[in-house]
Amino acid sequence: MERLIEILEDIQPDVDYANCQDLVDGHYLKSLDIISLIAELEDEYDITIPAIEIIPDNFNSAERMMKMIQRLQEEV
Amino acid sequence: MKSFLNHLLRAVIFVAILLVTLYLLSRVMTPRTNNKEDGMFYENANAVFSEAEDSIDVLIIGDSEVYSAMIPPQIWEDHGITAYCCSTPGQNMASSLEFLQTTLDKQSPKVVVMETNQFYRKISFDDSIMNKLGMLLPIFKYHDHWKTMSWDDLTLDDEIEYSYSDVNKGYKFVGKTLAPDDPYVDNMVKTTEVQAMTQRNLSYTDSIKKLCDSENIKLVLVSTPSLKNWNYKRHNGMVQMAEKLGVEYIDMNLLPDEVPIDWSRDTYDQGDHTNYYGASKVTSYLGDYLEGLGIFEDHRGDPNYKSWDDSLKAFKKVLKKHLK
Amino acid sequence: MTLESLLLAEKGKSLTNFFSLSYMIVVLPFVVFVYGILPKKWKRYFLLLASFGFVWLVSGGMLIYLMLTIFSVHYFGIWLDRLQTELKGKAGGLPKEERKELKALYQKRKRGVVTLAAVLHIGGLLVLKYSGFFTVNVNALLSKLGVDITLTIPKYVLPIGISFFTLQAISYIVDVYHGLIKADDNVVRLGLFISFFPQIVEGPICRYSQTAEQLWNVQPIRYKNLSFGAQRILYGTMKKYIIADRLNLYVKNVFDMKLDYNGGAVAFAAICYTVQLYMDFSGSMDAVCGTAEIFGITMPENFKRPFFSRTISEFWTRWHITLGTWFRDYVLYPVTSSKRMKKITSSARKKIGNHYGPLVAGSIALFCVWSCNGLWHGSAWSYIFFGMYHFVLILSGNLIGPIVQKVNTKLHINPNSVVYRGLQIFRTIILVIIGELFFRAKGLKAGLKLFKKMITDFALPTIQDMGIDGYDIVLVILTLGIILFVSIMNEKGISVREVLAKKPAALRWAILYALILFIVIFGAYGYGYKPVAPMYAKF
Repeated sequence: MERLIEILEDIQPDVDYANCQDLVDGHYLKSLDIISLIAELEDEYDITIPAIEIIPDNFNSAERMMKMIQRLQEEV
Repeated sequence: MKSFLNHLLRAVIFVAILLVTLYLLSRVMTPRTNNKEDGMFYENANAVFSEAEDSIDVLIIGDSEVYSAMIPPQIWEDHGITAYCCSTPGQNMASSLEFLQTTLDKQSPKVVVMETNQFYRKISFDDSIMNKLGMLLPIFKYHDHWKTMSWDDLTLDDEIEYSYSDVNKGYKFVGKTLAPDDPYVDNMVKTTEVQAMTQRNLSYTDSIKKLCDSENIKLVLVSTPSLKNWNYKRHNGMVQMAEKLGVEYIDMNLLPDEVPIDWSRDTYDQGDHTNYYGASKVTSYLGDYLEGLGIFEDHRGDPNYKSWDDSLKAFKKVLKKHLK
Repeated sequence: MTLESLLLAEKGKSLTNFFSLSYMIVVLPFVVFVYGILPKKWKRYFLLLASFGFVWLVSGGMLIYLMLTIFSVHYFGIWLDRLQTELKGKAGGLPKEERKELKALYQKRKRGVVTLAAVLHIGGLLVLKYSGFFTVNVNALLSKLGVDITLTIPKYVLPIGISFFTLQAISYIVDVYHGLIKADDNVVRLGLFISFFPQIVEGPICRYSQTAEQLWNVQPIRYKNLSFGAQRILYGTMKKYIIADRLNLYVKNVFDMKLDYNGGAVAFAAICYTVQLYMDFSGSMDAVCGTAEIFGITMPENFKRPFFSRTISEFWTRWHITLGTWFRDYVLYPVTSSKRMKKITSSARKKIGNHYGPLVAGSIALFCVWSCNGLWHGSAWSYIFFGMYHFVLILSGNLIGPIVQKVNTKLHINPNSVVYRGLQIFRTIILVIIGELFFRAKGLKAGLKLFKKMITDFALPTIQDMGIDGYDIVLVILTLGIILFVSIMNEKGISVREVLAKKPAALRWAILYALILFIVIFGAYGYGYKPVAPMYAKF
C-alpha cells in the first residue's frame, strides 16, 4: 500500500491518497495521469491491466486500486 | 390526500397572484401613446387607430407586400375613397385578425382587402399562443418597452393615446430601383399544382371571413405583383380559397395589361416588392376596381376629410423631392 | 384542428426547443399529468410511448432510426450474453490450460460481435452525417489530381438526436462486452434508456448504469421533485431568453460578416458567442435535468462551472462532461491500453522518463479523441480545426507542465495563490474564446479571416450596427452576475436551491415571482426576435 501511494505521489503530488475516495470523479487524476499510472503499475506489480479494468470505480481510491491489483495478480 | 389538496391550493394561489401581477404590469408596460418613442412598434400601421371614427372606407391588410404596393393618398386623389394599409413586416394571419378586430371597434369599412402572401406564411404554435397572450396580457407584447420608458411612464394607465397619425396612411415610400437579374425567372409558369395552406391559416381565414360577414364587410383577396413571393401553385390555392369563401380574387401577377409591371424599373429589391413606380400601377388598378364597386361616396371636398387632403399634399411633397 | 397540425406548423421544430411554449405549456404538462395519474406499472410504458411520440412529432418517420437502434443494440447485447453463458457452461470442469484457451476463443468471438455492432452504428452515423462532407473533399481532391470525375453529393436528413443516442447505444454495447453491466433482455427498459425524451435532442449522453434502472423503477410525481424541477427549468429559461437569445443577433451579424467589423467588434463577438453557447447549452441542460427531476430521475450533469477551470484539460472535464467522459472511456483508454501502445509506453518511459514516457502513447490517443470530438460536432474542416486546436493546447499543457512546476519552485511562486489561480483561469478563458471563434465561424477560411482581423485591426468597437444596444449589454452583465453568484455558491458546495427550500414561503415565492417577471419583461422574445433553435441540437 505504501509503495502504491509512493507511485501515486510521484505522478501527481498534493493529493491525500490515503483518504481520497474520488480520485477520478473528483478530477484529481487526469486521463494522462491514469495512462502513466497504468504503465507504472504494470511494471511494478507484473500484471497487465486490460481496458475493461480502466473504469473510474477501480481508480477512485488507493484502496480500490490495491484490490484491483490483487485480483489481477491472482488471475494469472 | 390532505397534503395533495394543500399543495393544490397553494399552487392556485401562486398562479392567481402571478396573474394579477402580470395584469398590473401589463397596464404599466402598455405604451402611453402610439409614438415610437413611447414603445409602440410599427407605428405607421398602428396609426390606423388614430384615424377619425368611421372615416375609413377600405382596410388593406397584409405583410410588406401591402405597404410597398398600395398608396392610399393616390386612391384619395383619384377616387375620393379612404383606404388604410394595416401591414407590418412578415405579418402573419394571427396579427392580421388582431388588426381587423381592433380596427373594427372604431371603424366600419365597407371593404377589407387581404393581400394573399400572408396566407402562406406559416404560423408556429408558439406564435399563435404568444399573439393571444399579448392580447390578454399586453406585457407579453410590449415587454421590450422598458428600454424607452421614463419614470413618468410608471403608471397603471393602460389607455393608449393615439396622437400619432401617419400622413401616408400606412404606405411606405421607396423610390429606388434594384432590378432582378436579366432575364428574370418567370414566376407565373402555368401549372395545375395547388399549394396547400396550413390548418392554422385556414382556421384564421375562417375567423376573418366570419368577422367580415357579421359586420357586412365585403372581403376581397388580392395578390400583388411579386416575382419572389408569388407563383402559379399559390395562385391555384387562392382560386380555390376564394371559391370556398365566395369572395372575389384578383391576381395582379396575371394582369400584364391592366397592371403593366416593368421589373427592370418597378421593384426595389429584385422583384420581391414593388417600389413607388410599381406601386402606383398597382394602386391605380385597385382604385379603379374599388370605384367600380359603386358602393363608395366620393369624400373629396368634404370638410370632415380635410386630413386626407393634407396627407395628399405631404405625399406629393415627398414625391416631388424624390423626382428631382 | 388536430394536435399534429397544432404542433407541427414548423415541422415541430419549435418542440426541439425546451423553452418553446409548445413544450413548456403543452407537451411537458400533458406528459407530467398523464404520468402522474397512471397506475405505477403503466408509468414506464407511458414514458417510452411519450418519448417515441416526442421524436415522431419532431421528426416524423425518422423515428424508425431510433427504433432500429434500440432493437439492434438489444439483440447484440443478448448475443454477447449468450456467448458468455456458453463459455461458462463449457469451461466448468475443464483444466486450467484448456479453460484459458477456451476463454481466449470466446474473447475473440465477443470482440467480433462488439466490433460488428460498433461498425453498424457508427457506420450509420458516418453515412448520414459525413458522406456529404466526404464526397465534397474527394471531388476537390479528384479535380486537383486532374481526374475528370465528379461524384454526386449525397444529402441525408439527419434524424434528430442521432449523434447523442448512437453514442448511448455504443456505450451500452461496450459496457456489456466489458462485463460492466448485464445485457438487458427487456427491450422496453433498454428503449427507455436510449430514447427518454428530454435527453434525446441535446443529451446529456447517459450510461446504462446511470439512468436505465431509475427510468424502469418509476417514481410517483412528488411535490419536492416537481417544484425543484420547475425551478431548474425556470433558471435555464433565464439563461436562454435573457442572455443567449439576446446576444444572438449581434453574434450572427458579425459571424455572417454583414459589415466590415473591426477587430474589437470581432473579439467582442467571440466573447459574446462563448457566453451565448454556454448559456444556451447549459440552459438547455437545466431544462433537461429539470424535466427529468420532475419524474424523479437524476441525470448526469453536463456542466460543472467550466469557466472556473485553471487549464484547458480541466475545462474539458467541466464542459460537456458526458461527451468528454464518453471519449475518455470508449476512445482514449481503449487506444492507450492496446498492446502496441503499452509497448510504446513502457519503452518510452525508460528512455525519456516518467512524465514524458506515457505522453507518447497518450498523445496518439488524444489525437484520436480530439479528431473524433471535432468531427462529432459537424462535418467541416472548421470543426476538425477546433478539435486540433484543443488537442495542441492540452498536449502543450502536458509538455510544459513539469517545466512550469520547476520554475515555480525556483521562483517561490505559490501555484495555489489567488493571483496565480486567477491568472490561470483568465488565460484558460481567453484560449477557450479563441477556440469558439473558429467553432462559430462559417468555415475555416472565414475563421482565419476573422482571427486575423481581430489581431491586426484591433480598435474599440462602436455600439452602432451591432444589433444590440447599451441596455442589452447592461442586462446581460447583470444576469451573468446572478449566474456567477449561484456558480460561486455551487463551487463552494452550497446548493442554492436547498438553502432556499429552508427559507420561509414568502421569501421563496418572492424569489420565484421575481425570476418569472424578470424573464417575462427582459426575455428576448416577441416582436423583433426570432426564436433561436437550441445550438447543440444540430450537432
